[in-house]
Amino acid sequence: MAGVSSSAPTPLAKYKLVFLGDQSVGKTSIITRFMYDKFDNNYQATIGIDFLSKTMYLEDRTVRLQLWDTAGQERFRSLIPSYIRDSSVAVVVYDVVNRASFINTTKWIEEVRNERGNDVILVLVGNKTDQTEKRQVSVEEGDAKAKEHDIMFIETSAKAGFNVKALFRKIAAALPGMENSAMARDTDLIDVKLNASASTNPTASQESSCGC
Amino acid sequence: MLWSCGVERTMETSDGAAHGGASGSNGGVVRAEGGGSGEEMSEQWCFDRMDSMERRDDVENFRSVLLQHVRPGRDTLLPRVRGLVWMKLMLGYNAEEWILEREPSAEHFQRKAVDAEIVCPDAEQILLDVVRTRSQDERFQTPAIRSAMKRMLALFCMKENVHYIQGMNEVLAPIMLLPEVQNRPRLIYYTLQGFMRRFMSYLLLPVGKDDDSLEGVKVCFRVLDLLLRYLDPELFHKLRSEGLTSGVFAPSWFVTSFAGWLELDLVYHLWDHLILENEPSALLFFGLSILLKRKGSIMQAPKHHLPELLMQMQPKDLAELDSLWSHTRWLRTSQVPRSVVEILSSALCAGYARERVSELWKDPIAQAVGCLVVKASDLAITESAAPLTISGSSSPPSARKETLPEGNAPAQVQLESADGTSALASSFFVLDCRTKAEFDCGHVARGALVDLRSIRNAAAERKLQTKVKEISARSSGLIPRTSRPEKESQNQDVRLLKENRSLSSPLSADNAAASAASESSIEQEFEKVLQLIAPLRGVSHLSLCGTGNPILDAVDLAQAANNLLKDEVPKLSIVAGGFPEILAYHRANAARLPVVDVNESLGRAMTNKRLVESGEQVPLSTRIGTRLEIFRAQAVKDLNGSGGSSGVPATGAGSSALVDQTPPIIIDKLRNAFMSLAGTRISPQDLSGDSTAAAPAGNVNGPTTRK
Repeated sequence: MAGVSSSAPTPLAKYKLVFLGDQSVGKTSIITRFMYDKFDNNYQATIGIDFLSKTMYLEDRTVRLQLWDTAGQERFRSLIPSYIRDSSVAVVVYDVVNRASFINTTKWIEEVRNERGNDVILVLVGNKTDQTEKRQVSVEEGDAKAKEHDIMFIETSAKAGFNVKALFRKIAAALPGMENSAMARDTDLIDVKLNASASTNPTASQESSCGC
Repeated sequence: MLWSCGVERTMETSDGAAHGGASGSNGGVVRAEGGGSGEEMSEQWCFDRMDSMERRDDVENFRSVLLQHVRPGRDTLLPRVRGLVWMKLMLGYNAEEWILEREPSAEHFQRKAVDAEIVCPDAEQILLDVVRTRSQDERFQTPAIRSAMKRMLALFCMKENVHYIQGMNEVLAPIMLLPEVQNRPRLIYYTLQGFMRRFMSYLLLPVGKDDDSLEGVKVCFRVLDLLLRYLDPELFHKLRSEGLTSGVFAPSWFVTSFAGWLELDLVYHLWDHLILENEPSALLFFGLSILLKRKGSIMQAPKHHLPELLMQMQPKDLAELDSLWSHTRWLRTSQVPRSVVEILSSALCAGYARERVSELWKDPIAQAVGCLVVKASDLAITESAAPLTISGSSSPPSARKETLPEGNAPAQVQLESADGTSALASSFFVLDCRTKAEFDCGHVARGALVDLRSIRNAAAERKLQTKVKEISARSSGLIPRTSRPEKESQNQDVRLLKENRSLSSPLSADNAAASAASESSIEQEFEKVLQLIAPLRGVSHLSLCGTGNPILDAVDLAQAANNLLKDEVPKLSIVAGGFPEILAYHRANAARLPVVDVNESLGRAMTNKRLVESGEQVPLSTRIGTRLEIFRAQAVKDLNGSGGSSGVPATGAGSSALVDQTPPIIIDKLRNAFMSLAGTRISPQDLSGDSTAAAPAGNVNGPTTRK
């Protein structure tokens, strides 16, 4: 599938992205921000799984992302492996104000490796950066953990709309067959959120780059 | 004395204070039901009726009156009376007294709840979820209702000794706002408990060490997949090919009883139906109904859209929900075997019993091919074969009076349906997968023999090849003599099926031609089977009957089941225990399950003969008994000239010459002699080779039952 064919018109490529992480770290929020550019303080707890899909029009192709939003509660853990199956991308989310959720990312990463081996793009995401004063996990720690597992890393705030598009841009750029594509900079994926006008949280604008 | 009299309301005020004003906006709606019998169903009528309840029967009478008044597209229960009605229907005519007995003091109950919140290990998770319960509905946003819900869930988990599972908050939510119940923690608690115990026991697994608290929910997934495959293999395959099984799209259905999936007014409406009809497993069928009713859009949906589509299949309004519900009822009462519904109700939804539920798939062959198992009792003719009348487009397929094509059917079978379509739709037809010799020693009247000779031959051939290879390998010293390949081969057939390979494929290249030939004859054979069932396809339940011996059935029956499932034949099942079970049921209920041409001992001998021939380990006593039984039958047949319809195969020229001059009495003496020779004390059961059935010795003078 990861062909380097740049000449032939590629058919619509479909990628499955699965979002993992402890309860209430903001998996649903990140997805909703990406899909609808909105935020709500209280999304219904995801029971088992939820799906959304989005088509992205890139300069040389169109890709369809199928987003699998999973339940965070420990009790649902035994269902997760079947959700990870066939996924191209696994996004492991933690909450920067909740240290336990950060520690648990190790388990989630293992879960993905068990199911998909190295056949998957893994991204570690520290969410809720808007809550600066309560932060329990530093950027450096997150970055170190990502390096340790040899996976990508980014911090986001779904609430402030910070870096959410950057997250998906990183993912899109890493998708199989995307290596040579310059899509990331020039398409609708450009993070319009950089002007913090629409953002609800003023702290967001201060951290404007994704550190990648 | 009752809650609905103002006395109790005042009594509960101390509880109410803790809840604050969570009073629902749907309260106080006085509805005057228009038209016909609507009058008597006023709120006052309901309250009066409930106030005057004194016995268990009163509840059931009340229930049946309410059921008679259900009108499609309208509230099943008037919102104001809903809370009390639910309580009465679930907890009994004396629900209030019953609760008071358990929790006489509101203050004490309150204290327990506060304590539970402190000690509950899941308290943090509960808090997270309560805050985001129905966040679009402002009634759930007040601090009072949030703290009440939090306490209630903590208490529930502690008292019931269960883990909190995300989604329980959604189950509690509708109950929190029930008129007459809201603001009264004790009533809320026991309504929740009553509901969960009656309809969601699979969620209430006791806390243990390494337990999986979702085990019961996973059983629901398995059941849903199994039933979907049973009713609509095409739809099942479509979903599965996209990796979409129940575990993916149905968690919130079963974890929340659809509360997390529907708008609040629809949840109330659905649960009204559920509680009123009081069929614990009904929601499983509701899920099934949703899938089947949306088949059109599921089949047409582009791949990428399918997961989302499955998340958005909610009924739009009461009317649509009602039509789904009547379809649900139809599925439950006529489309799924009774024994299955019974197990689901009593061992999954209203009480959880792991062992009993697993009866649905513990049969090794059914498990291997992924097919439903039915009991002999399911095949019985029911007194009221006609299912409940249903509205909408969900009616069973149009009336058909079918005659099976001649082909292999020994006697032409006519499916007479007394009242036309309905009897036919809910009828079972048995496809007998045993040999003709076994079939001729007894079979279900409403059934036909399926000729599977080619499959059996191919399997025997394959076995021979493996043996030859083994022997040559052994002689060349490749395999040590001590190894036990025999045992291996027993499970081989089942394993091969699991891998979904054709049974004839492992033949070596030398035998390619022979293999191709046998494959084509298997194909022809299967073509005939399809022709045989064509008129019944999708109409009748088709149940495969084997010998009940998994070693033999793995060869022919399993392969037939596999082929039929691949051909997406709906409503296909396997009879648990095969023909012996059918016979046992027939002996107890002859009229309900007619069986003809019975010669049990000979039939068993025929099966044992096959077992011996297949090279299985069979006790000496059984082998002798088998030989004798066939020998004797042959003798009887010869003596009677043309008599006896049992198609006993010739046992060899020598023996029949001997039998010619041997009256049956001599045979019996001969048998005794053989027994003493064998040096064992053999009971008649041993002789007939089946230790499980202790039936009287079969009648040698031909059939006992004739239609």
